[in-house]
Amino acid sequence: MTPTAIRRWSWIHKWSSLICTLFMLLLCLTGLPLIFHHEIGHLLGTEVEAPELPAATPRISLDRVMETAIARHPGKQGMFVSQEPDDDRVWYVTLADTPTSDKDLKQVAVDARTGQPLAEPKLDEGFMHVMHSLHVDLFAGLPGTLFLGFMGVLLMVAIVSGVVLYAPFMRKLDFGTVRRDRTPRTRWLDMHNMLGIVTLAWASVVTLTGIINTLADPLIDLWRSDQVSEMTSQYKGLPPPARMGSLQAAVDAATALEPEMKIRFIAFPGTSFSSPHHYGVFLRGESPLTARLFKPVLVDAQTAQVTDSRALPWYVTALLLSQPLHFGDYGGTTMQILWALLDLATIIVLGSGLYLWLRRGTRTAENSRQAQPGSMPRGAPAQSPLLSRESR
Amino acid sequence: MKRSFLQMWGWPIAIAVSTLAGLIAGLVGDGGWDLLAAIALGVPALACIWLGTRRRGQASRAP
Repeated sequence: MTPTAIRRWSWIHKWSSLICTLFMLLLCLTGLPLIFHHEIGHLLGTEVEAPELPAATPRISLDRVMETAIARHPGKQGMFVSQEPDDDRVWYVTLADTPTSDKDLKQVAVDARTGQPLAEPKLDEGFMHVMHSLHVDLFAGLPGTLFLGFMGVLLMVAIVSGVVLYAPFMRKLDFGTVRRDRTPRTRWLDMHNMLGIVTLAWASVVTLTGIINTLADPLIDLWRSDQVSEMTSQYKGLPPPARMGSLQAAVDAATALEPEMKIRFIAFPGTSFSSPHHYGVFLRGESPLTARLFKPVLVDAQTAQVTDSRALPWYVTALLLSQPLHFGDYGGTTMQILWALLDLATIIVLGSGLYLWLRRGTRTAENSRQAQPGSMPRGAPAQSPLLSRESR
Repeated sequence: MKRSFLQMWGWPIAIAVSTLAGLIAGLVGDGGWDLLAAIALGVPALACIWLGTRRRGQASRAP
C-alpha cells in the first residue's frame, strides 16, 4: 500500500470512529445488561412466572383473556396480544387508548389456563427500560433510532478501514502479538489491532444487523402500504367496523389455515401490524430459525373469515433474521456469555482507539526518539526489521 | 521482509470463518447445533482472552 493510500485510509478510520465511538461505547455498555434481560428480570422479580399446573390443563378463550385485561384498565382497548416462544402459559395483553397510541400503554400478563391476571409488566420504567431506551432510541423516538443507525453505518466504515489498515500495521508482527514491554501506547495499539481483527466477523454482523434493526419501523410501514393494502384492497373506503367479533374465533380461523404453526402475536385492527378491518394473526414455526419468521394471517375482525395470508416480503424477513443475530438470544446461556465477552472485547477496541487518538501527540515524539515498528504509520510505515525482531 | 498473504491473513480468516459458522449453526437447530455454535463462537472469544492476557515469555515460545 502506498503511503498516500495509508494516509487516506487512516483519515477515514480516524474520523468515522471518532464520530461514533462515544455512542458505540454507550451501545456496548447498555447492550450488556440487555443480553441477560430475562435473567435480570428474574432476579429483579419483574419476570412473569406462571403457576405450576398440570401440562394438559386446557387453555381458556382469548375473549376471556381480553376481558381480564380490560377489567384492569377500563376504557382502554386491545392493541397486541402475544406469547413468548418458550412459554405458552401466559398471554401478554397490551392495551392503549387507541390502536396507534405510543404512550400510556399498559400491559397485563394473563394466565392462559385460568384467566387470572398474573402481573402488569411496566413498559416505561425501571432499570431495564432505561437501558433499552438508551440502546434503541436515546429516548428520542424514531429520530433517535435512525441517528443510532447512522452511527452504526459509521462504525461499519471504521471496521472496514480498520481491516484495510491492519496489513500495513502488522507487516512485521506475528498474528496476535501484544508488545507488553513497550510504551503503553504501543501496547494499546497492539491490543486494539489484535482484538479488532479477532472480533471482526462478530462485530460486523452485530453492527450490520443493528443497522437493519434501526429500520424496523419504516420497514413495517413499507410492508403495510405495500402488501397489507393489497391484501385488504376489497375493504378500501369502507368505514372501520363499529364492533369487533370474537378474537378467539379469528385466531381459530388463522390456526386452521396453518395447523402446524404457533401464535407469536396478534395485532388488533388499526395497529401498524394489521388493517382497520382485520386482526393480524402472526404465526411462527418451531425451529430456532422459523420461530423468528412470521406468517401473517389477516382475519376479518367482524366475520372471523380469513381474508388473506402471504409470506412476508424479503425486507421484513431480513429484519426478522437480523434480530437474533443482533441479540445473541438463540443459542442458550453459553451463547449469551460469549456475546457478553465479545461485547467486552469491543468495548476495549473502542476505548483503546479513543486512547490512541488522545495520546496521538506522543507518537511523533516517541517515533523520532526510537523507531516503533508497527506503530501508526504516518506517511511511510516505519522500517526497522531489527527492532521488530527484538520485540518478539 | 514482507509477510506472505497467509502469514498475514491466515488466522484472521480462520477466526472469521469460525465466528460466522457459529452464528449460523445456532440458527439451524437446537441441541447439537447449539453446542457447535458455542464451540465455533468460542474461538474468537477465547482468542481475545488468550492473546490479550498471555505473557511475553509465552509469546516467544509460540510457534
